[in-house]
Amino acid sequence: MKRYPVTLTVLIASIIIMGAGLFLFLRNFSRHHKVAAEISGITSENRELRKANLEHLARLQPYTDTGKKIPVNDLVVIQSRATNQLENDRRLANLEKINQQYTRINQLGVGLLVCAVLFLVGFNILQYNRRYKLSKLQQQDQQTMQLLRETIREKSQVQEDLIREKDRLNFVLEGTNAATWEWNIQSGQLTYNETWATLIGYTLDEIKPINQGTLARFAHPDDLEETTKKLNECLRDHSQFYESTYRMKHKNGHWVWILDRGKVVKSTNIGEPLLMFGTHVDITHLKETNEELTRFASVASHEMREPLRMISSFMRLLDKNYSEQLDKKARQYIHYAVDGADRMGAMIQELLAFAHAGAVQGGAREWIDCNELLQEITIFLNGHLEEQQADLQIGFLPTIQARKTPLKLVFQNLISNALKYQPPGNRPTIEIEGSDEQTHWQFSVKDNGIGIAAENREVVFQLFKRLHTKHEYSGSGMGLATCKRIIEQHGGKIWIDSGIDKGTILTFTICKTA
Amino acid sequence: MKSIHVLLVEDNEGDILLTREALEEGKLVNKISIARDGKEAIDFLEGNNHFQSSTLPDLILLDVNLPKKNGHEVLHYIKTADAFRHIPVIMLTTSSSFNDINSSYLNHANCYITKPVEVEEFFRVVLQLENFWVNVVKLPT
Repeated sequence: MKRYPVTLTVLIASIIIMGAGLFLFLRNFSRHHKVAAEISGITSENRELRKANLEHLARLQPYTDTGKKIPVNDLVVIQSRATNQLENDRRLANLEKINQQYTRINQLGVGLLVCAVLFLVGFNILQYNRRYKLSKLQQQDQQTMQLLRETIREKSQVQEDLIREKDRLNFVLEGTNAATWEWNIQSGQLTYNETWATLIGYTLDEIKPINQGTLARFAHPDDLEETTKKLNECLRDHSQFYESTYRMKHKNGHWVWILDRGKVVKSTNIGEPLLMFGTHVDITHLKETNEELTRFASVASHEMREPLRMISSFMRLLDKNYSEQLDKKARQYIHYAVDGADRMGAMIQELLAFAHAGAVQGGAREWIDCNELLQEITIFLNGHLEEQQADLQIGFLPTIQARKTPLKLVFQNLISNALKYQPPGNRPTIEIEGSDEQTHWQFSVKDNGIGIAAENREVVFQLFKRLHTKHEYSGSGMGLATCKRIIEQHGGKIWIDSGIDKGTILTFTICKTA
Repeated sequence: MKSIHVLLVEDNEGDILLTREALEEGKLVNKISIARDGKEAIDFLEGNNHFQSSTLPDLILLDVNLPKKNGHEVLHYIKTADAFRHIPVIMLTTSSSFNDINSSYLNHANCYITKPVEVEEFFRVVLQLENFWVNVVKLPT
């Protein structure tokens, strides 16, 4: 692009005009000066002639006053002077006329010069302006093009990503054999994939037509109400996940346990749910295994309690009724037998609690004011607290949604531990705090006890894991395992922050949505 | 001195012995009959088989987990039979499950007691029970 937008013709024309103007001006300027000098010479000459004549006339005054006759010589001189003066005046008028012409030509030259310059400048300005505007437009066009190219590239990238993502999702769904559903809430249109039908022994064609009533055709009537309630909750507040477990009737007549999870993935500008996506997973096996395990643990511990009670009861009776006939050694044997039976009894009791904590139907979640719950626990543990003169400080706790009995057991276990694992003679200080986080509630139980070494902070949660002999600190090794199981049932975590001699901080969370 | 006859329905020999000893320690019960399963308990009340000479008990101690017919079935039978439903039935069992407790009261059990694990406690409870039903309560005649 040219920086000086002046065309050659315009430039040459301007220069010719300027040259002409300059030439005219310069040529006439010197002539004009010459004439001007001549004029001034003649003018001054005339002035002197007039002056000389006037002086001469002044000298001749006495002649006029006395009426004497003026000498002829003087008259001739004055005559010639006047004649010269007249001649000069004529020349002067002539020269003035010429000079006027020169001035006009000069003015013309200057005018031409000025015109040429103005023309050049104006033309340049005009041209430049035009070019500038044009370049601006071109620049804008280029930017637009660039933007357009980028947008197209992005669009195609997005398109590709989308396709890739869709493929990947399909692979994942195929790979995990997940059944999916897609629900257009506004139009009511519902789509299931083939696996969805396979879960209950059908093909997709067999369960047609698919609409909002399809689920109700197969779901257990007892479970339907709860499921509908949960779904509506999710639609009301669709930042939440929807999750429900229910039974569905298999083609063969048996019930299949389904874990149904979903989320509103799209909503309108005003926040109305538009599209919901979810999966079905067959958890029948898991459910059965869980139930069997719970039943097993429950039955086993019930059945074990009976014979144990016999052992301990009759050992005690023996000790009570026949102690006079027994020597010291025999009584010691009995003591060990009773002690063992008692410990086993306590263990079975806790195993039972552990089994119940893991029960899938551990009761529905309810709203619990943790301040009230802790008050109940404090009353329950009052004997121990007073005995050890413990200082129990409870902060303001949130009201949470959880299963009450298991949650109570967690707090009870943690406080009991805090009271139990204390150096001899130490006055226990226990601080309980709770907070409402975005996705979960968090609680901590802090004590000034013996603490737990870093390497043991994971293993203490294992079943039957004990870090101390029963002479140091008694216990079954099931308290924390039970707590962990309960917390995990609530979709939370439990962990320990502690240093030797610095006490223990047990923190756990309860998930709001699980 | 009142004459009290108790029917103990219990399958565990150890528990039978314990309960018998505890009852005898109270010295308020002078006859203890034993039925070792649910069916035997019903036979005893009806005077079937080898229980022909038996008299009706004043009080029944009934376990829940019993062979042949369980405690709930026996309870239901007693409380729906005109001849027996006046007899107080005390559920005495190791079970502390809510189902067992609620269903017992729904079937008109007179009270429900979970056997204490500790033998001293068990003796204390049986003695209290004996004292209550013999000395405090007026039984039908």
